[in-house]
Amino acid sequence: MSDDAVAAVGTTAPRYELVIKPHAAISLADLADIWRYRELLWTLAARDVRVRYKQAAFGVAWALLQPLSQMIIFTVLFNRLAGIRADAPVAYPLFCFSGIVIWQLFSAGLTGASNSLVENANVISKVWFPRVVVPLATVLAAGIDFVVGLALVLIMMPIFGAHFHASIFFAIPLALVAAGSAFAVGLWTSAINLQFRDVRYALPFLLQLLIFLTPVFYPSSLIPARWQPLLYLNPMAGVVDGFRASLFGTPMPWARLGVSLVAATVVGLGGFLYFRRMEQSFADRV
Amino acid sequence: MSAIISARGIGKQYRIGARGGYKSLRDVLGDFVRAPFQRKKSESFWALDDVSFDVSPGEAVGIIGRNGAGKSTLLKILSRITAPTKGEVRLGGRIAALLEVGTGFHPELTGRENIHLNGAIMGMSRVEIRRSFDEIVAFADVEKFLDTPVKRYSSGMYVRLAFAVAAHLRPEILVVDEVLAVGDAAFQKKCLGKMQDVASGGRTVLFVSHNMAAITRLCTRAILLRDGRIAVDGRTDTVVGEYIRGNSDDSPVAVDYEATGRAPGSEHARLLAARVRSDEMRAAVVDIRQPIHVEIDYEILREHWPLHPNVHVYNEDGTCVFITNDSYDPSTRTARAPGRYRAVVDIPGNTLAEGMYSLDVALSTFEPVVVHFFERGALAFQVHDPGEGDSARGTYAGPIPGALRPLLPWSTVPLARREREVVNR
Repeated sequence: MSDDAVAAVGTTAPRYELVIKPHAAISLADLADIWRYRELLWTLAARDVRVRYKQAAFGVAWALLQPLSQMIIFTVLFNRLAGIRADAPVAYPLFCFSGIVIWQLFSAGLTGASNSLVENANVISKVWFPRVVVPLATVLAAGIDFVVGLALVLIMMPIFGAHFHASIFFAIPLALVAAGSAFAVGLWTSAINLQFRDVRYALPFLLQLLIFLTPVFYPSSLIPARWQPLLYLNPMAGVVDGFRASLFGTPMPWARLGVSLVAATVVGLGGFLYFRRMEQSFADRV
Repeated sequence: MSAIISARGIGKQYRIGARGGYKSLRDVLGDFVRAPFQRKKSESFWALDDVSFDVSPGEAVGIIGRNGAGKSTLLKILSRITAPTKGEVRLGGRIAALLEVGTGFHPELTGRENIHLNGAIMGMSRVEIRRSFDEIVAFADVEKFLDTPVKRYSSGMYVRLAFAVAAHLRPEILVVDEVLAVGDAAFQKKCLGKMQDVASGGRTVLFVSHNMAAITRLCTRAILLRDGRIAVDGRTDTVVGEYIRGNSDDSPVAVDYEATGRAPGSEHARLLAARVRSDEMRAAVVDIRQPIHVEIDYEILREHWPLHPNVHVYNEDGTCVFITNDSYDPSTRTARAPGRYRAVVDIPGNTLAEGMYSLDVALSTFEPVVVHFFERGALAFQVHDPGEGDSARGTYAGPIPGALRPLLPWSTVPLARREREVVNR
C-alpha cells in the first residue's frame, strides 16, 4: 500500500482511530480516553480497598482504629498534659478526630498516589491505559476510608456536644479539595518516584513534619497573631480549618481556602502536564 | 485493500550503560559531580530501526526473531505501552495486547474479582465483562473455585483463567506475545484454536512466538526481525525456514545480561548471565556424547520466597523436549539469602537428538506461582554427532527421527534350547 492510500482515508477504508507517534501532543482525545477508562478507576480503587482488608480479622475496622488511637494519644498528650483546647464549641477529642480524618484523606491519598505507579509497574509495562487512572484510583481508595471516618465523626458529634449546622454540607467540597490536593501533588511525586525512588523515603518524613505545621491537633488560633500570616503558606491549613468550620458552624476561613484552591489547581495542572509528558516513558523506567 | 495497521519507519532508541531501570537522586548528583572529569558513558542503541509494514484486516501475522531482535519492542509500540522514538503507526481499530497472561491479577482476590479486574485493565467495560462472564468461567473451567483467592489456584487453573479473560476481548486487532508457552498441551491447543477463531472471524492477529509449529499453523504471513530491522517479510513457511537457517550461524551460547545493562527480573531476583558449557564445544556445536551444562547466574535481591531456576528445552520444530527445575530437592524449598548464585543443570550426554535447540531460562516461585524472569530463547546450540561409532547412532549413518537419542543398555545372550528360565527373564 502506498503512502497516498494512507492519506486517502475514504469511506471503504478503515478510519484510523489512533496514530502512534513519538511525543504525542496533549489533546482532548486524552480526556476522552480517561473518561472511557472510568470503570477501571472504580475497579482499581475497589481492588485497593479489598486487598487492604483481606485476611485482616478486623477488616474495615482498621480504617477507624488508626485515627481513633491517634485521637486518644493526641487527647492525652496535647489536651490533658499540654492543655491545648479546641477553639470550636466542641470537646477536644472530636475537634482532634475531625482534623485527623481530613488530614488522613490528604496524607493517605498522597502516599498511595506517590507509590502507585511503582507498585503497579507490572501492569504498566504490559498493558496500555491512561496512566492517570492509577494515582487517581489510590486517592479514590483513600476517599473510601475517609467516608467511613466522616460517618464516625457524624456519630460522635451529638455525643461530644456538637450541634449540626447547615454549613455541614460544605464538608463535601472541602473533602474534594483535600483529595484534589493529594492528587495534584501525587501527579508529580508518582512520576518522579519512577525515576528517583528517594520519593518513597522522603515523603513519609515530609508528611510527618507537615502534620505539625497544620492545625490538626491544635487550633490555628493558638498561633500568635503576628505569625498567623504564615498559615497562608500551608494550603492544607485552610482545608483543615475549613473542614472544621463546616462541621462545627464556626467562621469559614475563606481567604485561606481560596489560597488552598488556587495552589491545588496550579500544582495539579502543572502535575498533569508533567505526568503526561513523562507518561510515554513510564514503561521504559519501571 | 486498505491496511488496518500501517507502520512507517518506526524506531525505538534505548540507552544502555545505565544500570537498572531507575536511579536514585544520589546517582544523579554523583554523575553531576563527576561530570567535569569523566565522559558520560551512556551509549544508546536502536532496539527497532526503520520498521515499516502494513497489515490488512483479517490477516494473521507471525513475528519471529531471536531474543533482542526487537519483537517485544515492536509489540509494546503497537500496544501503546511505550512510544516510538521516530516514525508512526496508524491503527484502524481497537487494539488489545496480550503480552502476559493475567496482567494485574491480584493473588489475594478471588477468581471472580480477578475476572472483573483483569477485564477492566484490558479495556473491557463492565457490561462486556458481565456479558461474557459465564463464557469466561466455562472456558477456564474454574466454576468451583470462583470465590477462592487465586493465590490458592494451581498454576494450570491460574493460567486458564487468565487466558480465558483475554480470549473474550473483542478487539479489531489482537496482539499476542508467546502466551501459549504456558499451560498443558490440551489447554495450549484450546488457546491456539481460540486464536484461530479470532483470525478467521475477520479480526487481525499479530502473534509473537518462538514456537515455529504454532506460527506455521496460525499465520499465513510472517515477519522476521533481525537486530531491530525487518529481515524478511513474506509467506510463513519461507520466513520460518529463513529463521531456522539464520539461527544456526550465530547461536548465543553465553549471554551476559549484567554487562549489557539489561538484567531481566522482578523485585525479588534478576538474571545476570546464562550460558551453555560442554567439553569439546566448538562455536555453538556440542558433541552428542558430552554432557551439557546450563548455567544460570542470578542475584537474589530479597529473601522472601523459594526460587527455582528452570530450563525449557525446545527443538527446531518448536516442540518442548523437556522442562527441568530443581524443586524435587527439598533443600531448595526454602528462601535463599540475598546474593549472587549460579545454578547449574547437567543434561547427560547422549540425551538430545542431533539438531538445533533453543533454551528458555527462568526463575520461578511455585507457591504462589510467580515468574521472576523468563528469557525465551535465551540460549541456543546445536547438537552434533561426529559418528565415531560410540554414540546411540552406532555405525548407522542415515537420518534418524526422534526428539531424544538416549544411549540405552543392550544385551544379548545366547538362547540355549529348552532353558525356559532364560525366556522368562
